[in-house]
Amino acid sequence: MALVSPSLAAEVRASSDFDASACLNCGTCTATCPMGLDPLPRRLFRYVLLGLEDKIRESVETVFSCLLCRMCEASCPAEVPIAENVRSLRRYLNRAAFGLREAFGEAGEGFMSTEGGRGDVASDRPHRRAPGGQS
Amino acid sequence: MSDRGEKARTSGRDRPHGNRIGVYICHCGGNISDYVDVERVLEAVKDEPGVAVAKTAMFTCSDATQQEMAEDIREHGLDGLVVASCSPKLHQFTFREVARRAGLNPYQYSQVNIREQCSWAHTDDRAGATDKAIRLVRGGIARTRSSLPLTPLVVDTVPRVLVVGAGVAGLRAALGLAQVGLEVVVVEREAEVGGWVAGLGELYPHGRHGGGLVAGLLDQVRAQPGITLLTGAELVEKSGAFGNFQVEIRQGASRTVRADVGAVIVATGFETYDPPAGEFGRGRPGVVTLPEFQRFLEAGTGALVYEGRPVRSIVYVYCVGSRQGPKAGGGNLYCSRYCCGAAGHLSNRVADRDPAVRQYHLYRDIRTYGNLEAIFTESRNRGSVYIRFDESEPPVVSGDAGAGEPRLKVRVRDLLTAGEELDIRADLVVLVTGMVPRPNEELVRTLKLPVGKDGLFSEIHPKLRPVETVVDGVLICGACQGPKNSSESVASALAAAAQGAAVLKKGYAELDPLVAVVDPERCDDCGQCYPACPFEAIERVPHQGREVASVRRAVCKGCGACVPVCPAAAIDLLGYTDEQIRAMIDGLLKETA
Ligand SMILES: Cc1cc2nc3c(=O)[nH]c(=O)nc-3n(C[C@H](O)[C@H](O)[C@H](O)COP(=O)(O)OP(=O)(O)OC[C@H]3O[C@@H](n4cnc5c(N)ncnc54)[C@H](O)[C@@H]3O)c2cc1C
Ligand code: SF4
Ligand code: SF4
Repeated sequence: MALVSPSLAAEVRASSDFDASACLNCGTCTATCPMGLDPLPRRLFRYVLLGLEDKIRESVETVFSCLLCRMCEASCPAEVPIAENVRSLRRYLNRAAFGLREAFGEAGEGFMSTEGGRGDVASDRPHRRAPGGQS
Repeated sequence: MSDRGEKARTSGRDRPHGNRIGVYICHCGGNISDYVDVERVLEAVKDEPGVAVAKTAMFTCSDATQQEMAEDIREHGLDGLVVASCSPKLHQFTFREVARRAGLNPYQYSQVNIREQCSWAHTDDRAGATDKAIRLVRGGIARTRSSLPLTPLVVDTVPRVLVVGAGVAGLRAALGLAQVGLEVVVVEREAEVGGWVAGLGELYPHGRHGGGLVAGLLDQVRAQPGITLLTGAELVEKSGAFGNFQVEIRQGASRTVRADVGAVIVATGFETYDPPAGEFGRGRPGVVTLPEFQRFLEAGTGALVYEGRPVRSIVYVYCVGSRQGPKAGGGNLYCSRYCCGAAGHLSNRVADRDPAVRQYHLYRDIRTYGNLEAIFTESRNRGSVYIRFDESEPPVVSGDAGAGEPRLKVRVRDLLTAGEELDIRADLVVLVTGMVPRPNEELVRTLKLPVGKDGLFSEIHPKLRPVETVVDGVLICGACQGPKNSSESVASALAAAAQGAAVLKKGYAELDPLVAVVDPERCDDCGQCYPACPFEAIERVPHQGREVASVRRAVCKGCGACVPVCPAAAIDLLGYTDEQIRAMIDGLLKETA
């Protein structure tokens, strides 16, 4: 069970770096991804929108496996800036999971702070890391 | 209203010359001919008794074939016309008009449906479909042989309309009618006009103020001398027939108003669904319905405070009281249409007041058709999160969110996040309640309004005759006939006004002559037919020193319910006389090989 973090969600809203609000959840990106990266991009975007911090942190491997090739972006019907969103996620994880804030300076300022309070939303699903397939 | 003077039973067999019937069999561009061998049908029917001309055509409804039929009617002096094509619902009127234009009585035309009933229904059996078509066409020819020239009943109409209900639909219909010069009596049950819209603030999608909109309409209504507005009033009696109804309206406890009207427009609107205690947490503090939420927003400004507590997080549960399919336990099956737009719109108003409020929309499907999509997009862009659940696993609203936290907890399985089960904490849970029929038994009884399975009033056809009911002269519009937002309600109100005006401005109406007639010589007034008629069209009249039953033509709908109950076989249905039905059966039964 993971709680939706209100502070995280608020920051997402305020951020100009990360924008997945237009995502229709159509799955085109998942289908076109040459790396077969699941939960990237759409499920991960949901984690961000819902503020499921734990789930995002658990997805480190996937986020850094992305080639940033933008195949998904080229096919996305909602023109979601997918690659840019992945970059934001990397910055966030560098800081939140690896503590790389100083080293990255300004660029390390992502859309999320690590000191998010108690959440609005919780989820209790064990997260599956295996690429491909829906859990 | 004078009844027919002619004798009811006139036999086609007494006609001076033999029958001269034209038969046209349609290919429907392949729709029919792909599965029905139209040439074989032609062969099988061209020598039927009475057939003078028989042809096939690629499209009988085309201008060229209509022209050809008209020429045949004139040239061969045809006294009957049969077109074997599609459903009479589609083209009966077209071909009756062909007959009329060529000087043949339109009621001596019969349409035989060999498309929906043969080619489309039996794509697996060409021979069978063809045999069936042959039988049906022979039946049609047989019916036409004993058809009589009939003339529509012409009734004078009163240039005044009764509008029941003064919501946006009723007010707009009244204005539309007054603007074309008809008098209008508007009856509103409540003390105030405007229905729901009067109590709404900023409306989607145009942002106009509901109360202001109604005030504007009321000003226009008041400026029309032809409109009489009666508030706190109800219709209690209706008699007469289409074109000339007598209505009685009770206003307050003592006043009775009587009026003659040519038509009635019903615009009595809807109620919103009232969830029983326990449904989605109903009864817990902080669980509100959509209208309650709308009133709460309307009553304040600035940051949201509900019952003394600041509102940081709102969960909307959609489709409450709507689309309750078997998986959700049954109930109202329809989509209420207005609520997705209304809830999205209100969430944007929340964002106007306090952009920090977190909003979660738990929906099954989002119905923001046309421009309403902009509301949905705006809501998402401003941070609302949409979470999709399945009908079979609805969200659970509970109160155990922990001390100092938002009061409510909503558990939902999010289909958009691969079925993740989520717990969302909320200060407010808004149940996005749908539209339900407004209780109106009294009115239904008085006007004999047709009520559908869903409890809403039924039009004849949602697309082809969207504001007419099976009761001639009684029209419906607005949300009483089905969920509609205010602009859709107004559009249908204008349709009803146009429909009413189209008839009443002429000053007379033509009623279908396909009605029941009683042969007074045979009737011995046993009384059995009176209660059989669902429209109370049969009355007792004096005839040569005794009393007999007689059908009021303007009221009769030609349903035929009275015909079989008469032990003296004194009743016949014009256009479907016993003689015609027997002949049709003989035609149908004849061997096809
Ligand atoms: C919370 C909420 C928000 C909404 N927001 C919007 C919005 O933003 N934009 C939008 O387009 N639509 C909105 N709607 C929908 C809108 O309210 C309806 O589309 C509209 O009210 C339909 O108008 P109507 O005249 O058909 O019915 P009603 O408004 O229900 O009016 C019917 C009238 O008939 C009267 N009446 C009923 N029975 C009788 C009787 N027997 N005799 C005499 N009078 C009778 C009633 O008293 C009432 O005055 C909203 C609805 C709700 C509930
Ligand atoms: S292709 Fe675009 S709209 Fe579709 S799921 Fe991926 S990000 Fe969302
Ligand atoms: S309009 Fe939306 S909330 Fe209302 S019943 Fe239809 S789908 Fe459900």
